Amino acid sequence: MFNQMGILLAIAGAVLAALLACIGSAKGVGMVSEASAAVVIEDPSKFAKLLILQLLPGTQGLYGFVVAVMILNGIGILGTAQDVSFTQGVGYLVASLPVAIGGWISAVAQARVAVTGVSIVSKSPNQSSKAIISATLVEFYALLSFIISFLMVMNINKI
Amino acid sequence: MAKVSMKHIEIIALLTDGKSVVELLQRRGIVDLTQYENTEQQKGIDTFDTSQSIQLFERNSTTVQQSLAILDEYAPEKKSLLTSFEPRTPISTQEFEELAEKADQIIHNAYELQRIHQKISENRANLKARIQYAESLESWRTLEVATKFKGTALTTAFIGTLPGEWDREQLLESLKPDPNTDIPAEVEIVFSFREQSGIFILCHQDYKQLCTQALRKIGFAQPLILTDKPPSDLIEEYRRTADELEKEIKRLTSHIQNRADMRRQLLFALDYLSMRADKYRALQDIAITRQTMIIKGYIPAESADPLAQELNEKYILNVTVTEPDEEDDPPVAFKNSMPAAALEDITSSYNMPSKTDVDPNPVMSFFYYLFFGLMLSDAGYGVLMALACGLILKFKKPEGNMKRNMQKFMLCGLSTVFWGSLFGSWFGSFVLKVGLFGQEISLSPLWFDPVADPMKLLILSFVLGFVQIVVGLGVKFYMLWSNGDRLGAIFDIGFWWVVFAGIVMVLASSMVSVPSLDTVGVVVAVTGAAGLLLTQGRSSPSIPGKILGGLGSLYGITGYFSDILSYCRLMALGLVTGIIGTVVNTIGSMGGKGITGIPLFIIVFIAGHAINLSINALGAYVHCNRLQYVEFFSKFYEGGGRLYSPLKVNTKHYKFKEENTNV
Repeated sequence: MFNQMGILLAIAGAVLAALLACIGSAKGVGMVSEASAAVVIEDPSKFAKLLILQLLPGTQGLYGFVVAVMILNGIGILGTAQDVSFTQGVGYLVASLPVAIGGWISAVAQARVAVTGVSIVSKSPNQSSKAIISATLVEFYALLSFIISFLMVMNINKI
Repeated sequence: MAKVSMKHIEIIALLTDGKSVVELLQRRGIVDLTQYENTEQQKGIDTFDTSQSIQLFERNSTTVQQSLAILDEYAPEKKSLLTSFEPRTPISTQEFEELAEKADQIIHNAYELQRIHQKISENRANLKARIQYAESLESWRTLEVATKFKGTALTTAFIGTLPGEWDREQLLESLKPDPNTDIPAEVEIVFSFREQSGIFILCHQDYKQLCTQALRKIGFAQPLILTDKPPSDLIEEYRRTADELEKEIKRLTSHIQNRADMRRQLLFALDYLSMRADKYRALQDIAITRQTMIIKGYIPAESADPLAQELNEKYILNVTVTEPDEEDDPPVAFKNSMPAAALEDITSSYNMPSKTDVDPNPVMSFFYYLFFGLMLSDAGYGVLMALACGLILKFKKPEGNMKRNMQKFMLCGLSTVFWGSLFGSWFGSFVLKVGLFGQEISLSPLWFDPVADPMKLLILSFVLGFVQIVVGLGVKFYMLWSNGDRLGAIFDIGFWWVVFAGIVMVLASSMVSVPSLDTVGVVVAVTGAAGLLLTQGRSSPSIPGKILGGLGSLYGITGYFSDILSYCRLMALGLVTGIIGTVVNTIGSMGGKGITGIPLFIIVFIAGHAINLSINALGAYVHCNRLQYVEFFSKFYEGGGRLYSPLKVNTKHYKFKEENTNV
């Protein structure tokens, strides 16, 4: 019974990682794209510069996805079958939380910065790199969340 | 490694040569003009006011742009995706002169094109109105009189609509004032639909009153369109004019389409106008007296003498080239050879170096390419990037920024190949998956597999980050030392190095077995810290201030700590690429080897890796820039310089040969 609980909890962890991080990214990319669309109507040539800003909040979903895949890999849903103890299951579930929640919130926060960045690009396209760098300041915390989740997921089979 | 050394140049020329001299400067494209400011209100010195001419050029330029858009609408030009990489078309002196002579005519044609376009729009609107009009009259077609018709001398006509469906009997019934009295009238139902019917009633004048009353009861209303002629005639008339309008539109459209050859001329005009506008803007910067003009600006030292010589040969004027004064603010230009040159615009989009800064590009370039490759970290992607950029460079011969970007990404691609092969990542683990189709080849990592040993990659990232920060401090050391502030260099940088050295020894003691290395490390680190404590408050006048300053500077260790931690993004981005690449391959191979499996694999492989490559290349680029801007530049770079932007021929479509004139 406990063994099955383990694998279910681990799957729940994979679900959270992919789901929440992707929700954040979807929201974020959506927000920036809406703002960019308004600029592109006026001046289609700015599309390429805006595309970078639009994609920035998209990476969190990617991190969540990677962690989810690593969990599925670790518990044998992908790759070779494994026994997952209850403790390990809880471990996977908890390990998914940094990238799930950190990814979600940082994607939205980053999108807010990027939306203001869109107005920078619309007014002075030459300054677009400053807008991009500002948005990546937020991205760093998504990266930290990802690294911690990743390191935990990689090593949970040792417990 | 260098910033270009700038000289101050002053040209005093005769006013009569004015335009010609400015033109020569524009063609040479090396003098960054300084705006003349008449701060001392010197009498007799004036400036040109060319704002009206500039406005005219800009207005014309807008019109030309609009007519180009019109041409694109009616006679679109086939463009390949790669067009944007192509260089400007060179144009010979003769062609230039011919076109320049025709410039007014070209602009005139542009206006003409706009007029035709407007005419077409008007005709379209007209045509639409007519068709709608004819359609709304269609239901009245069988009425043989005008809908305005009110009757003759002795009769009264009622033409209009009733709500709902009606037939003749019903209508006759409704007209009766009482069930037994008939009103003698000619009654016709012109049309009858569910919502509305059109009726025509003709009665003797004597019955007008009765009829009106009866009709009012059943909701009689005048027709929406009142016509002077029978509707069928009008419909015919509208159809005829609509046909004519349509023909006219076709004629005008083909007229525009026949002018598709104008595109070349219009593009030329665009360049020509922007050139002239630039020149006239430059003229505003120049001080003039009654007979002479004074041009001031900055010029790269190496070009100063040849230019002075050329000017002296051609005109009667006086050129003075001097070293810029202390308080002057000469513009900054970079001069680097290849690997660093491609990164110049990354630095300039952060900030141009100030007078005291060194050119950061050469030092940065080493780390930039190294980090980009580590973050993209897939040899397959690297090969694609390097190959694509290389081919574009070879066959499309882009120029300017585009060329620089292609060179930059080609080198980034090569660095990616380097790291990817160290980590054994070729399109994820693609090569391992090829085993599906029979042969089992595997390219094992030349160094280690980061997914299997992520801690190793994390430590590698921190080490690389540490190295970059120490090098950054080294540049600062060099700057302070060469500026004569040798004590400052030792106090501000040297002591930090001592602290770092101590910390590194302590960390290393857990890995290598050197007796009492950790103790030595602690001693070294504390020595460095003591040095900082004693020296960092030295600018403060009071003793407590000096102590606080020293203590405060030690707090800076947290700054270095977080800077180094920041390099963990190298690891995170490096891992993501490989893992997603592998996942793409896994999903692709789910279909097996069968008739559906292989096409599925091909589709998933191409789409998946394309997305992965683009997202991760973007990530690598953005985070690579950030590491340089925030972690590296903050160690030594002040910025705040002005970008060198000489007056030059700044065209988008045509490349003019030197000898051209543009009066």
